Amino acid sequence: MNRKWICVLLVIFLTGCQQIYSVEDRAIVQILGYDYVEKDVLKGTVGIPQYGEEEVRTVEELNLTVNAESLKDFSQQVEKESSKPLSMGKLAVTLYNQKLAESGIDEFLDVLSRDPRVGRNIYLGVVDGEVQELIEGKYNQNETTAKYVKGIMENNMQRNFPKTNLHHFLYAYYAEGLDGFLPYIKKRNSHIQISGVALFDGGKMVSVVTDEDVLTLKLLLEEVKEGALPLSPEMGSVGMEITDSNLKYEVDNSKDIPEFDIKVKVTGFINEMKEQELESTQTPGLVNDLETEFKNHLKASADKMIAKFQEDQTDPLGLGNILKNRRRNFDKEKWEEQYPEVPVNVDVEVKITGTGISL
Amino acid sequence: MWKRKRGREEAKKEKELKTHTEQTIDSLFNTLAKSNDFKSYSAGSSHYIVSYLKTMCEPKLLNQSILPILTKYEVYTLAELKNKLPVEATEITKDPAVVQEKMMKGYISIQLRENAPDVLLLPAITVEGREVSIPEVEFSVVGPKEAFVESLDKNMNLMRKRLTLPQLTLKEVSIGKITKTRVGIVYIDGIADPDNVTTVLQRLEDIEYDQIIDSSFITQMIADNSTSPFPQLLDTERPDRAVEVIVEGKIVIIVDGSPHVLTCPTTIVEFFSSSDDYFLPWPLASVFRLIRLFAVFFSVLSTSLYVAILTYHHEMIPEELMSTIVSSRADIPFPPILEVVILELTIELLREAGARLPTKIGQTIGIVGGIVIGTAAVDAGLTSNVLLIIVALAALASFTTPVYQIGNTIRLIRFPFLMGAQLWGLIGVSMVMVFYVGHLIKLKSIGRPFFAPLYPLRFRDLRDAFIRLPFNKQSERPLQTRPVDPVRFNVRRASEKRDVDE
Repeated sequence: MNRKWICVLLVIFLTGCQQIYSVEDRAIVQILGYDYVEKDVLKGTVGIPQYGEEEVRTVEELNLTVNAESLKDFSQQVEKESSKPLSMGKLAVTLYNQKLAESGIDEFLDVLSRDPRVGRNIYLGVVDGEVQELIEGKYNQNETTAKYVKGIMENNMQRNFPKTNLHHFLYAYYAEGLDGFLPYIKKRNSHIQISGVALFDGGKMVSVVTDEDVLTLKLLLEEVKEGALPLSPEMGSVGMEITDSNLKYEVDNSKDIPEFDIKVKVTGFINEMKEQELESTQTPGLVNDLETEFKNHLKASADKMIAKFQEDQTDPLGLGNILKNRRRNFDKEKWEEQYPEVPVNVDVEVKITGTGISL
Repeated sequence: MWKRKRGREEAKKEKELKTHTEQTIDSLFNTLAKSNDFKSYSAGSSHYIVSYLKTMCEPKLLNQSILPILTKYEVYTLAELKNKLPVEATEITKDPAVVQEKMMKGYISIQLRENAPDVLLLPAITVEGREVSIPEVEFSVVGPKEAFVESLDKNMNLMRKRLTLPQLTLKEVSIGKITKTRVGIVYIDGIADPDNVTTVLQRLEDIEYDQIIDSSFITQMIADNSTSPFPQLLDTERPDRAVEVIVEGKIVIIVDGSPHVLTCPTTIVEFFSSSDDYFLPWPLASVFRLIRLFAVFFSVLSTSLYVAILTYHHEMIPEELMSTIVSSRADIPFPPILEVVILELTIELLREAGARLPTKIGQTIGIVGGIVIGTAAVDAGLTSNVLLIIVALAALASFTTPVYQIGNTIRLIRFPFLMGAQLWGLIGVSMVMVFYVGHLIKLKSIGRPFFAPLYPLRFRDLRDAFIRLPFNKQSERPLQTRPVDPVRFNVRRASEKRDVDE
C-alpha cells in the first residue's frame, strides 16, 4: 500500500522536473525552405512569425538562414541562431528549390513523414528560383509569407489546380505505379505566383505542367466542381465556368500491353464571350459548335500531356496503380518498360448548360 | 489524565440530560423555573396551578378562553375541568415525558394543586415564522411563485393542497439528541417503492447526532457516499417541484426549520433540469437543457483545456487564433497555470464575498470585482484578456445550473482538472475525467444508481433526461424510482386526435 502511494506521488512530483515551454516561449516555424548550394551542402531558411504587442497586433516574420550538410545538421544550426526552442508543430508550408527537387527530395520527405508533430495537411511546393529570396521577401499583403503562400495554394487548389499536400504526395510516393506532383511557384516582383505543377518521378522532379494545361490535368485527376476554362478559337474568345465533371478510367487488361480509356464529362456554362466574326444572335447550333471546340481543345491538350508524361517516365495519373489493382501478377519493372508505349485514349464530352442572361 | 477528567465531566453532563427525561413533573417544573420565561401561578376560584412557557403560548387564548372559565367554575377533578374548557385536543396525563414534550411546544398545563400527579394539557401553541414567499434560489419566470418556509406543517400544507390524495403519506420521526427536530418523509402509498421508504426511514432513524439545524445536515448524514463532492439527494425550495417528484414515485424528506426539502432517489441529470423545463414547450425546453449541459462542460473544462493546450499542445491552436493568443500572452510573466489559478481564485473570492454580503452591497462587489479587478489585472499584465473572457464565461456558465448544490460541485471539480492539465496536458484532463466518470458510475442515491439513465442505460428514462419529450410521450414513471404502479396514464387515449366534435 505504502509503495503504491510512493509510486503515485513520484509520478506526480517528477512531472515538475520537465521543462515546459508554453506557446509564447517557442519559435513556431511556419514555413521552411531549402536551397541547393552544391553537392551535399544545402541552405535552409525558416520563417518564424513574431507577434506584436496587444494593440498593434502585427505579425512580422523572423527568417533564419543557415548552410548545412544534412537535414539533421540544419536543425542544429538553426537552433544555434534562435533564442527559443524551435517547434515544428504549426509548419504550414515546405518549399524546395527546383535544383534541389531535381536532385531528389527523398530525405526531406522521410523527415517530414516521421515527425508526429507535423501535420499531414501541410503544403509542399517547388520554387522556380531561390527559396531564400522568396521566403525573405516582403509582400504587400499584411501577413506572413507562410500565410501568403498557404493562401495561394489553398485558393488555387479550390479552382484550377489539382489538390495535393503532404498526405497526397506521400501516398503517391510510396504507391506502385503512381507519381506525385507539387505546385510550382515563383516570385514575381512583389508577388508570388503559382505557375504550374511540378511532376515527380519518385522523389525526383522531372518536368513541369504549364499554367494552360493545369486544368486538363485536374480534370484527369479528380472531379472538378469549380474552374475556369478559357478558349480562343478562330471565331472569338470564350470563357467557360466549369460546374461539374466526371471521370472514369477503364483498362483493357486482356492483352499483354494494356490499353487505357479515360472518359471525362465536363459540365459548365459560358460566362464570357467576345465575338469577332460572330453574329450577335446566338443559336443552339452555336452552343453545339462551342461544345465541339472545347472538346477538341481538351482532348488535344490531354493527349499532348499524356505523351509528355510517357516520355518523361512519370505517371501522375496513376495508370500503373490502376493496372496493378486489376492485374494478378503485376510486374513493376515490366510496366515501367511498357509505359512509354501504352496506348491511352482520352474521350472528352462537354456539355454547356447555360449561356447567361444576355443571350 | 485531563482526558479522563473530561470524559468524566461528559458522562456527568449526559447523566444530567438523561435525568431530565426521567424526571418527575415536579422536577421538570423546577428545571423550567430557572428560565425567566416560565410562568407558574395559582389562578381561579379553586387556585389551580397554571404553568406555561410565556414565549411559546398564545396569550389571547389564555386570557379569553381559559382564565375566565377557571374563575367561573369550581371543579374538583381535571376531567370535569376538561369538559368545561372550550379548547380542543386537551389531554390529561401523569407521564412527565409527555408533559415535557408538550410544554416545550407551547402547551399550558393546569394542576389542581401544587405537586399533583395529574396534569391537564391545553394546546396554546404560537410559532413565529416567515410567511410563504417567492422562491429565491430556484427562481422561475412562469409557474408557481410559492416557496417552502421553515415550518414543517406549513410545508406539508403547501404540498397537500397541490396533491389532495388520501394516499399521500407523512411519516414523522424526531432526530437529534438535543434538538429533537421533527423530520418527515412524504410519499404516495401505492406508487413509491416500499423498499425506498424503508431505506430512508431506516437511515433517518439511525442518525446519531445532537442537532439537526437544516435539511442539508440530513443530506450529508444519509448520503450513500458522504465523501463524494456530488450531492446525492436533491434539495428544492419549490412545493410544485416536490409534488412533481412525489407523483413520479420519489420520496420527499421535510425537516422542521428548513425551507428546503430533499427528494430521493435522484440522478445526476435531475440536477440539470429546472422547473422551467416543464413550463415551456418541449422543443424549447430540450434545447435549453442541452445548452445548460454544454454550459456545465464548458465551465468544468474550459480553463483546463486552456492550460493543456497552451503548455503542451500548441499545434491545436488554429492559425487565426495564434496571433491573438500569443500577443495577449506576450508580456505576462506567469506560465498559463499560474495565470489561470490567479484568475480562478479571484472569481472564487468575488463569489464568496458576494454570498456573504447583503444583496445590495453584493451586487456592487460583483461589478467592482468583475470590471475593475478584471481590466486592472489585464492592464497590469498579470493575466491575458483571452483568459479573462474564458474564466468569466466559465463562471457564468456554472450559474446556469438550476440547483444550487451542484453549482458548488462544479466550482470545485474544475481544480483537479486544472492540475491534470498542468501535469500531463490533455492526457491528464482525460485521466481526471475517467476518474470522475468512474466515481459517478459507482455512486448511489439511497441504493439506486446515481448515474442512472446513462449507466445503467435506461432508454425509458432518457425521455426526460437530456431532452424533454412532450407530456403524451411520458406515459410511464421513471424506472429509477422502481414505482409500484409505473403507468401514469393511458397512452392511447392521450394521443387520440380530438379535432372533430361528435
